[in-house]
Amino acid sequence: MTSLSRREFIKTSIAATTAATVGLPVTKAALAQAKAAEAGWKWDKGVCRFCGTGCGEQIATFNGKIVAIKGDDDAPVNRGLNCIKGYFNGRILYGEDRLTKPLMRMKDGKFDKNGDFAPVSWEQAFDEMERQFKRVYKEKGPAGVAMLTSGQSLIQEGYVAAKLMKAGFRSNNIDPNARLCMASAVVAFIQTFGIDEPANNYSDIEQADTMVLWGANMAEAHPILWSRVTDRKLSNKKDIKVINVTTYSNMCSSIADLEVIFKPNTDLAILNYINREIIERNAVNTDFVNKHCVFATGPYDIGYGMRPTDKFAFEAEKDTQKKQLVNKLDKYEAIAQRRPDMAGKDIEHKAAATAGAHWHITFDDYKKALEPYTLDFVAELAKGDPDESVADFKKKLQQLADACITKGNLMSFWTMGMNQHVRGVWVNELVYAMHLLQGKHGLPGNGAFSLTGQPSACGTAREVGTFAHRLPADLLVDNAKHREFTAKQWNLPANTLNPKIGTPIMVALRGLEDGSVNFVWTQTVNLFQSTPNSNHWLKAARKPENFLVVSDSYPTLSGKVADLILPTAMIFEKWGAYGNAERRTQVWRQQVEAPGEARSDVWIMLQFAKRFKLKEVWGEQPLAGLKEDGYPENKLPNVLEEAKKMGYTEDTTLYDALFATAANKKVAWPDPIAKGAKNSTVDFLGDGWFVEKALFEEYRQFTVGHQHDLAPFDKYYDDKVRGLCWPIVDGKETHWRFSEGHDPYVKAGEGFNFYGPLMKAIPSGNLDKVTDPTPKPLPGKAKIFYRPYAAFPEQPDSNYDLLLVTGRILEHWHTGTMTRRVPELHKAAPTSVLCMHPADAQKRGIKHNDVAMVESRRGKVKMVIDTKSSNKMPKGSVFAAFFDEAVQTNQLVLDAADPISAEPDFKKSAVKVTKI
Amino acid sequence: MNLSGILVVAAPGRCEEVAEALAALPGIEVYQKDPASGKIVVVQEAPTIENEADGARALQKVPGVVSVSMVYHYFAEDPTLGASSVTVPTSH
Repeated sequence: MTSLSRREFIKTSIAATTAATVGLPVTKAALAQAKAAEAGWKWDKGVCRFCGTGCGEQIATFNGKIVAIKGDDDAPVNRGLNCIKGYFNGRILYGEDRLTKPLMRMKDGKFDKNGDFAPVSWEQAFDEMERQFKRVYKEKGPAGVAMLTSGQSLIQEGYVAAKLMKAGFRSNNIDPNARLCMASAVVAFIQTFGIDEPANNYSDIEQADTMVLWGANMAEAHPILWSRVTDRKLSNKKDIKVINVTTYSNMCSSIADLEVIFKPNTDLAILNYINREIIERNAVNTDFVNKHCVFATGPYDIGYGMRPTDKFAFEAEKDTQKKQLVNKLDKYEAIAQRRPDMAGKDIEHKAAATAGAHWHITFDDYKKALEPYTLDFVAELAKGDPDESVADFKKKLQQLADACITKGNLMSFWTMGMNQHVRGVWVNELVYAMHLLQGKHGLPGNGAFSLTGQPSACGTAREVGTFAHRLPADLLVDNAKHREFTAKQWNLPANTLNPKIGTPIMVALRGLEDGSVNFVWTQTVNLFQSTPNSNHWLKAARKPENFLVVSDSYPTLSGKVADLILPTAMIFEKWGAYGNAERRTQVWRQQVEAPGEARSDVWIMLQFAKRFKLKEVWGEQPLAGLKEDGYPENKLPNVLEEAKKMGYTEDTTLYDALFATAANKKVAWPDPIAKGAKNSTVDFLGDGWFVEKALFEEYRQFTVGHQHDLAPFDKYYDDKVRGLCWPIVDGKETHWRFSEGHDPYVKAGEGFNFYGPLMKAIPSGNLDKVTDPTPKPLPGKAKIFYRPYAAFPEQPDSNYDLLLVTGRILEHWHTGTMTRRVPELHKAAPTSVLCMHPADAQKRGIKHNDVAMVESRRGKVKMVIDTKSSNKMPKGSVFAAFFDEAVQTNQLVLDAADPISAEPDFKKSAVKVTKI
Repeated sequence: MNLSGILVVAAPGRCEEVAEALAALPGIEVYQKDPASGKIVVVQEAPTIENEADGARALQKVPGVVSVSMVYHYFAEDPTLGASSVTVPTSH
């Protein structure tokens, strides 16, 4: 066959497969031809690597390489479709600059902090890493080391990382980059429902009558979900409403019935206005609320998650930093918080350390709290476009309330706009309040749905629990019963586990700067690019006493400031599992081998674990600030004697004690479910146990019977299965949680049961304080929170006169570590642009496509001004994507955070833009 | 050479017009259309993935197009893939 005719042959085959996938008629002959074109290829199921949607893929391999990818038409998430990011799932493995050897800073054949990167053997890499880890561990104990991981880490990788750190090194200093995107959502779930993760699923899009986007650019951030929304809207005879509530006009507005442009942080006020209206209009579902909800509130003056000291601040940041302790209440906050006489006066953030505390209030108190949020007040406060009249904005707010207070089905969606927010937990909770007041949650077509940005932010970071305060399946390190259960599962002596919450990401990075943390190991994350106020951490990494290990597949900015770079296998080069935003766990087999000496993160961690004996970690360890029943003060106890009674010796390695246990070694490789697929992790470990399966099964024991039930490992590999939504009880998935008939944990006759077990007994009080500290239980109930409007700390002023918002655009994802590797993605946004209102540009003498200087209190960068973007900024606000390695947007960004969730607010920094 | 099968959805009543506009674009062949649902199946040929993705973005800008989704992507013959420079490990 000539190349031309072969090309035509493949083309018609692709056309036939595509048509069949999207449900158009195809002849049998055409399908037979399609099959012939793929002769010799092996197809297997996989999951898209690029966002939290969790689209199913079919991957074709031939001669050891991936040759084609198609959307999986059996996948309920995407039904055969991919967004543009889908083009890169196979390609991403084959970038020319893949890391294929460990790289270490060397001088005269030895590690030297000031040396240049040179390739070294794995043995050399581990030797130095071990030496540095043990130096720091000996000096500072478990608090001096940290592992920072990812919402892109596989379920098994998260499990190994959490167990190695928490049970092995007895350090809770492990935190995922999901802290940067999902932590506020998590806390709101726990505080409201007592259990993490959404109640609803993507099929609610097809059953909703009204869909509200809260600060979420779904068209660019979740295009496949957006295609389902547009499909629902455009191909339906019913009047389906789509509403875009946002701080700037974006692509989603193209099909929206209503676009509401609000001023940042006033989403809090808008939601309180709607919730006030629900009561005013007698639209409260009284029966539901009485049976299944209680009302609650917490302290207001909780600070902004910044350091309480200016010792490490740049001179220019000191005025912002001071607000952590004291700042002036503005007139709107004063009214909204029912203390109008305090307008313009200093308030002290006395509740910064107890920001998460909350207590019961009465419905009457709740109603009283909402009184200030009248239409007039909120319209004046929240209007985000200076060119819009208050009267017009008022109409929009009314229309928004009309749409949200409905007898029809109501869905709310949000992602970073509400999570990366100095009051992120609060604003998440106000959306739940809106749904709970009307009894519209956890039902087909009805629910408040927090979407995720990363492919396994749910499956790994949240479910496995790679956060500084968590253990698997929603257990917590500072809960004695949870530690006891975990110790039993992991066969650990009592009091091996550390009860003190570890360092969230920003605290770990600040630790590198202030000397409390000296060893950091990052995995699948580019934190020195992706965290706010990055100039501080970039400098801190290079301090002589610090040692930074970066595990990644490609060179990154974090790699540049590292001491050791470990090359890792990617997605289809290893066996793995992800969990998406609708609690769907999906798996794949290894399809191809990793290049050069790149290895899976599981292999790397297990090899490292072999280098530690129990006597080095399970003896007495210093832990400043520890005060806990059963533990000596400021110390973790020596548990070696107890360990010996359990059959360990002082010289047992962490590998043998925690991972290659007798039970796990019985899970043998090869296994028939492999169907001929390789397993490089097992091959390189060389001792014949099926690591990914054994660890998944071990992890699963945490979930079964605890409302998180996962199915057996093999079930997910069934040819017919396209992921399964937990809890899976008696072989059945759960698509809606908490409601009778959908959730096996809700008994007949209950209607609803918000059975989440956490924070289910709280004190009682009024709107200002606790009046009865006795914890009062609220079994089976959800909390409807009152949370007030509060302003963000760094308001634009006469010097820094614009507000910088950061976010994602379709062409890039994560921090560009992967997507930027692909030149075509890079080309679509060749250098970082700053989207700006044309009048703001003109005022500064700047034209579209000019390069200008963008400066904040923390740094300055040059950016290309874009006044014609699909992101249309209101006057006074500018937008930048946060990924660009050439232009580090994050050095401009303030590292203020939600004080309850420790998630930074990337979206509200004051900057100035000048012509150059 | 890269090839991709793409689903383009046209706005109600605009299937014919959109299909015609698509067919005029470089590297695009229209294989099937269904005016009732607005679905149009096209195959795009492009030298590299770069051009493939650019092309898919260009489809989004055609007047009357509601959505563009990639369904099938064949990239084995892309000359810019770094795979050829990759050495496969031979030992542990």
